[in-house]
Amino acid sequence: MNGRSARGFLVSLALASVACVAATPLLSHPAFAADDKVPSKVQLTVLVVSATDSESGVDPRLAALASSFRYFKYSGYRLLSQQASELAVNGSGTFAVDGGRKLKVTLLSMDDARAKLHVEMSNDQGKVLDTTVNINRDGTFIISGPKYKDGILMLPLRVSY
Amino acid sequence: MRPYPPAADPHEPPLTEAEVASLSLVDPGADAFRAAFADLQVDVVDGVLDALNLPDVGLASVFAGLAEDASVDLADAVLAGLDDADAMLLSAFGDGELQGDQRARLTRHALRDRVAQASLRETARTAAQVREATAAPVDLDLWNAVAIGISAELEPELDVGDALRTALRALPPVDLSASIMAKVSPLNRRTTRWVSYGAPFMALAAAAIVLLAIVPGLVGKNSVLVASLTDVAVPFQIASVNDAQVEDLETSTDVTAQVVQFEDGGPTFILVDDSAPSGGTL
Repeated sequence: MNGRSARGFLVSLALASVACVAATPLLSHPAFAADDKVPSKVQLTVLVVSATDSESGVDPRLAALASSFRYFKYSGYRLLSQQASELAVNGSGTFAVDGGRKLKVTLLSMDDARAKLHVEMSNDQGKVLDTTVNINRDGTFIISGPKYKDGILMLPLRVSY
Repeated sequence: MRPYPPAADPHEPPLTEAEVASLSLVDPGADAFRAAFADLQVDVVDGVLDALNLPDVGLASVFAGLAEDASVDLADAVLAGLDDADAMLLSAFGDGELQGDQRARLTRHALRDRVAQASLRETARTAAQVREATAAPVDLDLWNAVAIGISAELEPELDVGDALRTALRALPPVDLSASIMAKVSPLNRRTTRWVSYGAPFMALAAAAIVLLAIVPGLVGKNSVLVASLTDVAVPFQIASVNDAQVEDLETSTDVTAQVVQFEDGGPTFILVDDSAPSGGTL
């Protein structure tokens, strides 16, 4: 190895060492797995929203979703409940949904950009919906349509990490 | 300093109902003052009071501060506008000190004191006006004023008034006035001094009644106005990008489903129609 090659090698080695040292605080963050840079848990938030014609206006707590509701015919949107659960990979959370329903969500996998969820919705007679959704980090999707009183329910699910 | 209320004369005949009725005494809700809750944080809007056309005597100094600060302890703010005399009177009334024998003695005193009579009647009239104003359907301008004051983040094309009305109806009933009473030092009946019902007291009492009436369920224990409730720890947020890919989807035989994204970046909807007679499951 000549002088230039040796110098280049040493520079590369130094840069690599610096990079490892710089990454150590990030890797040791509690939210990260000890041997992986990818977060190991997600915060799953589930809203239960009543869409109805017997009321009018959008619940101020649903302000972030108001623009999405405009595509529906209902005059009123009220937040019935907000539930949250922290899920690790292969972990599940079950959420109560008005009208005698339940929503079970299982985190199948996750990386630094996306998470995959298995979602099952059941009523008192059994499972009525079974779906797998791949969603971007901090993204939201909405299950909409189960009948509730004179309108329907909307179930926004947000996966954040 | 005159003793309040004047000492009872044991030989004096009891008051007749006609005598009491002649004073047109109206109890603006003594029971309402007894319910207690603490740590009230309320954003109050001048527009509410303007829309109800309430007398503004004594209110300016109280609500000027509230307009600048979105989170204010209402009880403290109201008391800041009261002088000691009114505070004691308010406390006496709210603590039930004007009931039973106390109330009878006050009434008897008022029958003899024309100034006191006039003040009490004015209070009664104000209370009646407040009740009348708040019993009537509230028009949209009022609700819009309140919504603007609380800076609710709503789409421009949405009906702000209806949105706020819907939110307020969702809140449990609450006695706002109790928060005010909880801040007033308890009075010793023997040392309480009698003072006239002054305009500032009437205005502030009316304001408390108005706030109680127009925002029923405004706050519960340790809760804040409208925009957040005790059961919502963190406001729900929507990211600018919501890219959901539905990899598989099954429904029961009587349920249909459809996947729709109405706008770029917006949330994906899994539209489920379970309106068919139930019976099937996966």
